[in-house]
Parts: sequence; structure tokens; C-alpha cells
Amino acid sequence: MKHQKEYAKSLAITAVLDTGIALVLHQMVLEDATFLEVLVVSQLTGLSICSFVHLGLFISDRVQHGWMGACIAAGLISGIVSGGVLSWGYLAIMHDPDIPHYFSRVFSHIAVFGVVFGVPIIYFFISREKLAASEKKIQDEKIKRLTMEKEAAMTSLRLLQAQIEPHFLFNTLSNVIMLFDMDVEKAKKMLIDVNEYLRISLERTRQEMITLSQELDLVRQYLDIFKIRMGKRLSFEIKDRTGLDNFSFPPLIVQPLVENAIQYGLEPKVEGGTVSIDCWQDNSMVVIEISDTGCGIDENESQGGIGIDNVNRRLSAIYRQKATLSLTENTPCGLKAVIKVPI
Amino acid sequence: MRPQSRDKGADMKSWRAIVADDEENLRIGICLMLKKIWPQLDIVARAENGTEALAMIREKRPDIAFLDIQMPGMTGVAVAKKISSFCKVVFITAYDRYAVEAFENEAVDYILKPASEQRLQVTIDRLKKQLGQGTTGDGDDQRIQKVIQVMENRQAPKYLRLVKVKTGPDLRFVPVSQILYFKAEDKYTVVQTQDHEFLIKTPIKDLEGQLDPGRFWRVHRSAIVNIDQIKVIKRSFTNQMMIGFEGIDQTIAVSRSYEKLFKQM
Repeated sequence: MKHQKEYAKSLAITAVLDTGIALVLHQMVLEDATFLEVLVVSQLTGLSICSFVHLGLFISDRVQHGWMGACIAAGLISGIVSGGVLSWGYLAIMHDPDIPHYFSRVFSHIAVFGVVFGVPIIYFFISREKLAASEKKIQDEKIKRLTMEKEAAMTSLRLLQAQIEPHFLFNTLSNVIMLFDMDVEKAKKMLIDVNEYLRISLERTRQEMITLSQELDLVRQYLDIFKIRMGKRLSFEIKDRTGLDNFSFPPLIVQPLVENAIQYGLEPKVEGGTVSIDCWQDNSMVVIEISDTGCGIDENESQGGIGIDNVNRRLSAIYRQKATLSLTENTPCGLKAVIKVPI
Repeated sequence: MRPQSRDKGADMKSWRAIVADDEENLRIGICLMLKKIWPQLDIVARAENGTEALAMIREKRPDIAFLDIQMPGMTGVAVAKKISSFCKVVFITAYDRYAVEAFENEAVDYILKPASEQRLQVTIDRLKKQLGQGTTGDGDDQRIQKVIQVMENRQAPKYLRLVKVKTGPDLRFVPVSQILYFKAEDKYTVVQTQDHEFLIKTPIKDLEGQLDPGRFWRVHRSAIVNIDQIKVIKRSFTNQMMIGFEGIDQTIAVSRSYEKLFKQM
């Protein structure tokens, strides 16, 4: 649609220009030819140059933008050649006795004028197109940036909501309150744990990068809280075998998956189970495995939490295609999440 | 049935109750609070999960059941559905805006965690009054069933978040956010991610109903695309609308009848 409109517009401009060229040439140089002949040759040459250049632009648009210059040059040459052929044909019909001489005079003048006037016009059109394209690019960039900003804000909001998920918060505080009547020391410890957990969570939503061991510390804190709540129904182990002391790692990647393991794997299971976190190095990647022995994923209800979605989005935003998250069935039961990030 | 009491005051009679909560501290804690506020109440059993609660209620026939809503095995709501005709139910919940609204509307008793003694006192006073008047029974049961119905109905449609695929001997769950498109091929459906292609047996038309329609669009009789993953929409030389994705060369054709989906983009 856009191309057709542009094409029609430039054909009209070319036709007007061609008429002007024909008038000038007929008055000043080619007095022996009829005006009609000069006009027809001028139009044939001009319009075919215009058409071929447009074809060139159209092809460069479809193929690759880097080829635009070459496509225009090819269009210009093809236009001159086809204009020449058409003009020759036209003149041959009208003037068979003296074609070569007559043709070379009329056509060479027109071709020169055509190129002299045509090139600036083409240049004008192209630069206008380029301007429009760069404006569009700026606009696109702006949209992209705004979308990313919005995405980032949404992510930190979602993360924050996930951290202080109401069920987690109120159930945990209930535990603290109840514990005060049963075991004051335990209650105090739990309150300190919760306090620390909330403080770190709030800080993390504003941090872009922390270290893997900091992330594992938060996970330990979270699991400590759950251990008090779930009692013997929960056991957990955290192993860091990477040997990397300060491995830079985005916050809240492991934690949401652990939360998922608890919420969808162990809490709904009557007898509970174990969450295991293990980290190691493999071919310049750090592998983090979070597995649980919970109730796994129901065939008909494979929903998981929003956690997985979040982690997935964040990993691809931070590492592009270089990080992966895969979820498999754990043996003998439950779910296993494996994160791989480049070192 | 309940043993007849000659005393008019509910306080004089020993009512029997059961407490069900999967978290031990909360279970013991509620019992302690009840003992303090209502010493005459006889807590005949404590259940650690829904299944156990139902079995104990059926066996011991208590007058009141304090049921946590989120429990393994069976939710408190599912237990209530089965027993509310012969046992008074008091729900316990940490956070559930909708449930609380439903409880309020139907005047069904509930306790919010963390429970304060004052709040528990209010609930218990009401319970005593109802029990003393002998108003438990059909009316109560109907109100509970109504609340349960409200809670079951308001459950938001749950869309597929993970797609189960088989890769060799392993089962893998692919988060839908990783999926670029689903495409029908022979008897199978291709699940395409940026770096893998999986085959599943679920047909496209079944998937369409399970996926979030805000994110997954059917663009062809044989294809569903993840609109979050679309990189480019272009036309081929034959004027066919094509969708391109980040990281892969394959494109998906949009059939004419679905082109209008992209008109505003």
C-alpha cells in the first residue's frame, strides 16, 4: 500500500519534470524534431528511470537495507537502458529512414537531462524516506525503552509481592504469636528471622546483581522460617560446590523456585518432603538445581506458580539466550528445576 | 445425636470440638487459646490435614470443627462440604479476601490468622449463643454450602503454565512463557522454544482452550503463537502475512481469516 502510493506520487512528479525537460530541449536544442517526439521520448525515459529506481528501492526494502545504494544504481542504469529501447522503438515507427542519427541526438540529450534532474529528485525521495525510517526507529526505540521500564517496574512489584505473599506473611506471623505462648525463645528467633527476611527482600527488589552465596543465604532464611512452620514435614539441604566466592548473580532467581517447591510441591503433600539445592560448575556454566520430593505436577493441572514465569523472564532479560531454565520430573517424585547461567 | 442437656446455659454444657490445621504451632496455639477463653470446651481431636480431619469428625462427631482452609490432603472447604449438616464449622484462614467476604455475607463463622484473643472471644460468644439456642442444623448447613459455592465459582480461570513434554526417557515441563508457537504436524503438535523443538500429542484445538487467550493467539488452523515472543510481522511475495520470532528462522503463516487480529498493531 505504502509503496503503491509513493510510486504513483513520484510518477506524477516525474511526468511534470519530463514535460519541462521536453519543452526546454525542444525550444533550445532539438528544433528540428517535433515537440510530440521530444515529449514522448522524454516521458518514456523519465518514467522508466523512475519505475526502475522504485523497483530497486522496493527490492532493497524486502531484501536488506544495506543494499539500497546498489539497488538504486542498478535501477538507474536499467531505467536509462529501457527508456532508450522504448524511445528507439517509438522513433523507429515514426522515422524509419534516419533512426540512428536522430535517436542518438534526441535520446542522449534527454538521458543527460534525465540524470541531471532525476538524481537530485531521487536523492530527495531517498533522504525523505531515510528520515522517516530514522524517525520510526527513534519512535520504536522509545517504545522499547518505555516497555522495558514498565516491565522492570512490574517485575520488581511482582517480586515484592511474591516475597511478602500474604499467606506466607500472615501464617508466619501467626506462628510467631502462637509460639510466644509455647516457647518464647523460639518465638523470638522466628521473629528475628522474619524481620531479616523482609529487610533483605525489600533491598533485593532494588538490586540488580548480588552474589550467588547471598541469594543462597536468603533461601536458607526462607527455609528456616518454613522449617519452624512445617516441622518434621519439611527437610532441606543447600550445597554450593561451585568454588566461586563472589559469583555475580541476579537476586530472587533461586528463591521463587524454592517457594514454588514448597507451595506447590510440599505443602499440599500430607507427608511433606525434602527441598534440595545444589550448585556446581559445568563447562563454563554455573548449574543450580532445585529439586523437591513433593507432589509434582498434575497432568491436568500443570500450572505451577507465577514464580516460574518471573524467573524465566528475568533470566532472558539479564542473560539473553545464554541462560536456561528447565523443569523436569524428579525421581522418585516431585519436580526438579535446573538453572544454567554463564560464568 | 448430641446428648440432651438439662442446663439451659450453653456454658454449663460440655461442647465437643475438633481443631484442624497442618501447621503444628498453629494447631497447638489455637487449642491453647480456646482452652483459655472457653475452658469448658472439650477438644476431642486435633487433625494435621484435611483427610484426617474428615475421618476424625466422622468418627468423633464433635459439635464444632475449627478448619484451616489450606490443608494438604483436602482443603478445609472440601471437609466442610461433607460435614456441615451435622457439625458446626468455623473456618480459619490466613488471607483470603474473597472467602472473608463470603463469610461475612452469609454470617458464617471464621477466624483470621493471626488470631487475637479478643477476636476469638467474639467468635466464641456467637458460637455459644447459637449452640445454646440449638440453631445449628439446616440453616447453618445451607449458609455454609452457599459460601462454598461462592468460593468455588470465583476461582479465576486457570491457564496452562507448563507444558509437559517427553524428551527421550525424561519428562520435561516447558513454561509457556518460553514457547514461541504451537504448530500442528501430522498427528503431533510441535512445541517450539528458542532452542528446542518438542512434540506433544495434544491437538491444537484442545490447547487453544487451555492457554491464556491474552497471550496465545490462534493465527491459523494449525498454529497458535505466543504474542509476547513475536519479533516481526511481515508479508511474503505472495502477500501472505508471516510472523517471525526472536532467535529462530522458522516463521508462522497467518491465515486470511485471522489477519484482522493484527490490524491494530
